[in-house]
Amino acid sequence: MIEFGHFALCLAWLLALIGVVAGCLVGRRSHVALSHVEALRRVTIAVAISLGCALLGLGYSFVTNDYSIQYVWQYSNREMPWIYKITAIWGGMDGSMLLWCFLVAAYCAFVARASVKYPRPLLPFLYAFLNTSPLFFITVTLFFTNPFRYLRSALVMPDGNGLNPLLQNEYMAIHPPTLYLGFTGLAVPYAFCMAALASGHLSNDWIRLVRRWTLIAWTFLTAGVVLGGHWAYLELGWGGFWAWDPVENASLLPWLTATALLHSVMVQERKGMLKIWNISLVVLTYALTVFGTFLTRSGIVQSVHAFASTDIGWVFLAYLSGIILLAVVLVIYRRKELRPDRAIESFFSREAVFLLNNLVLLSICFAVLWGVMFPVFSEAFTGEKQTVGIPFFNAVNVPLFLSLVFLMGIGPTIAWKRSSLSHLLRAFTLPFLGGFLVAIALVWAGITEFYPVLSYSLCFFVLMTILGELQRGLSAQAGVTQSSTWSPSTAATLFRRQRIKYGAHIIHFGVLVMTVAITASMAHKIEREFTLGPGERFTVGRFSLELRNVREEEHANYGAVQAQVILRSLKDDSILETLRPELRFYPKNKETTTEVALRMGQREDVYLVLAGIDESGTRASLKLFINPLQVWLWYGAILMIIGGIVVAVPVPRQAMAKQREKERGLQSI
Amino acid sequence: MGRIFITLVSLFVVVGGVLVFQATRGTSSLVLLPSELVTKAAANDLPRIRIGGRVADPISYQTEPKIVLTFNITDPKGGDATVPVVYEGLKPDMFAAGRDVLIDGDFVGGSVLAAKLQTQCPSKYEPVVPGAMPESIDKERQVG
Amino acid sequence: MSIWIPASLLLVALLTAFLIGPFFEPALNGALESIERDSFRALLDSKERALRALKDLELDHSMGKVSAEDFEHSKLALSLEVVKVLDDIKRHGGE
Repeated sequence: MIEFGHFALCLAWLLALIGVVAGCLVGRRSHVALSHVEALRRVTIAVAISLGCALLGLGYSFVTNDYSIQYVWQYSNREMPWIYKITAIWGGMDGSMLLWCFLVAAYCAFVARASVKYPRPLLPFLYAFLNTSPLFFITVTLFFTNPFRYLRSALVMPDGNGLNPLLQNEYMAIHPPTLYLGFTGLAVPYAFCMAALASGHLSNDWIRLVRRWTLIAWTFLTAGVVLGGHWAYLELGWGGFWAWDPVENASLLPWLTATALLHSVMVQERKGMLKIWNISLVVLTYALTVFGTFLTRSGIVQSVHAFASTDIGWVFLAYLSGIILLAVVLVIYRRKELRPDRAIESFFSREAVFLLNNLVLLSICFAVLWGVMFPVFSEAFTGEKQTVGIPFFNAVNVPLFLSLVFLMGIGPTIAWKRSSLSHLLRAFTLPFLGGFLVAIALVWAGITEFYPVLSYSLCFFVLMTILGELQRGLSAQAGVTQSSTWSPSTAATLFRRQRIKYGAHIIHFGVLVMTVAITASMAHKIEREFTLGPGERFTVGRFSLELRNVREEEHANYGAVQAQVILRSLKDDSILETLRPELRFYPKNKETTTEVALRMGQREDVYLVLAGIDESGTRASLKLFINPLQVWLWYGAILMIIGGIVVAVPVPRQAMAKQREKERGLQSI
Repeated sequence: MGRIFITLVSLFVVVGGVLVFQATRGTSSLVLLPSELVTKAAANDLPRIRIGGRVADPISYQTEPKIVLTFNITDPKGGDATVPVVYEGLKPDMFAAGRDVLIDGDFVGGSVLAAKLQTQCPSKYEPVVPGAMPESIDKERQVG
Repeated sequence: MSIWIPASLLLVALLTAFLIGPFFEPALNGALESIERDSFRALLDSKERALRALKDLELDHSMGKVSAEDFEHSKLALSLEVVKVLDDIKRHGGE
């Protein structure tokens, strides 16, 4: 069956090549045959179909336990549940590249389907540039990381190696695909941007399409990054969720530039400014997704994520150089049409605040990139290899992220073009006072470190600005519809009319919640190490922990030592939960892992790790983390994703109403 | 492109540059292999280093009265250089002799006092363990 | 193992039919369309921006963000802009 998969992959490569070449040839003409355009559209869809067949071919081999195939042998075995046999498809480099190819092509196919409504002049080059991503990634897969290879052995292997036990959980099933849906989706805005440049069709259409598709990819990317952090928190046993590891940073970089883009496109749509700026952001975002996967697979920087050092580094670098060079050439070629319609008129305008937002995000991006690449730079320029770690990233990013939070309070409140001074005073005095009071209250309550106090005060400030905006919006709406300001119908009308604005408020509110949670879990974390015998207790915070006993268990493919620890509330000695941290030993791989016992609570998480047991097998050494407000981090992330969906998905009825409103605008003035 | 645009961009270039430069100077650590550390350090102490190596016996892990892990590391590619490491913390998952680790810490008094210890995560890009597969495996797939 | 050959051939056949379909479709056959760069589009953009800016201005004013003086001033300027663009569009369409 893998011959079929391999054939389908080669077919997809050929089709993508046709799409790119034919798309460019057709796009250069001044008149096009509609049949050619339709054929190109179908080629784009056909690439996805072929890749789907290739992926199915590989999946089939996994599900039917075909261990004659090297990749299947390496990452699967008979006793694995079938769901993990499927996730093992992307358990290694080759299969994950194939998944990436398929997801890119699937996005292109969706765009192709929707493209019947898009401006005709864009289409030929759009299809050409859409197909460049699948073409590149299929090339890498086919020639460097091909999963369709046989084990060159006369033996038929009875069983496989198996997926590493740390990867056999539900997060392996959802984190990589979600993250990839974020990364690959960012190839679509790139295609729109380059198609606009190549065809010369540089009106607002392309920027509008860029916004919509970037938002979809951004939502997936946010979900993917948070899922990764959540998985790390649950599995890795060090009580944290983000280590500024190069692979983690690789997923953050395009997220930062995509967030910047989502804000600055609004300026271009409305004011005709920042055109070259946005083009650069789109290309940079796409380049960062390619760079991210290059970073993860080439082994040029050390990380705890093991790398197979392969030769694919230079292929990626060549492609990256090509992308950037082509973009620069086209921008220079089209520079006349890319001149701004006007300039920013006032510091106290939303345009200026959005520019500031972009600059902060780009600064964070630069800092993270610098931190990731510093070993390479330092060795190249000084001969000595140096690195920076968590202290560097925190030192630079904490002030920058807090500035971003501050801007979140200013941006939505301030007016376009120029705000009146009286409005600024009215809008910001109360929130500023509120933040200041929070700061005083915190210091009085004993929290005196600078950054936590600043963070909480800023979050309160922003919260008050959001509520202020809501109040102003509701009363304006109430004035129009002659209803009461705080009635549900007023709110419903307001949200329907300005879905994007209030969806953005939901996202910002999610960011606030996350900021508070991160501040609390970083600044007020409690760590304790202690050893307990049966019946002994340990007290910390508002809890007491008592060891009941230590048990040994044998499972199908691992042996476990488990401590049964009773968690009680100190206040009334009631039992809250029995925590069961474990140490597991997998004889097949000769590996030990820790299974964290976690109790998530609204006020704090109780996170317990079994470090070891003594020789008698009755005393347990434990490490305890108390992470305040940790769970609110995940709640905040969910809010961000909900907000993203609210902004991205148009309500059908609203879309028609918008169309009618537009036409009315045509006739009235 | 407008005075305000240029002002804001310049401001950020300066502020960002200063921030990054200061933070780098204050927190950077030297990256070394055990063999490099042995030649470089001799009798001197070296603060703030990152060292990557392969775990070697003897490994000792005590959990009472404090959690302390002691082991040696050697160059991943082989060689005689051996450096002792002391880490006060939980034994990370997958930690075993023969596994590669990344350590952040200080070189004091002849051994590395590790502040942070990470074993190579069993991610998708795990190198093939030689000997675990039939010999006729693609040679390109093996990592030295 | 031998199933892969007919399966592959089937895939190729289906996709080929899918891809050459447009060349046989009577509605598409022979139809040519100009995709020349269009200055008309730029005018439509300007109109859209001006209308949008008016809408933003109204909204900001209703929420008290813009002073009365600024509001009147900007509203006048934007309305003039819209009139001018509509004029240009009419003239362009007339050519």
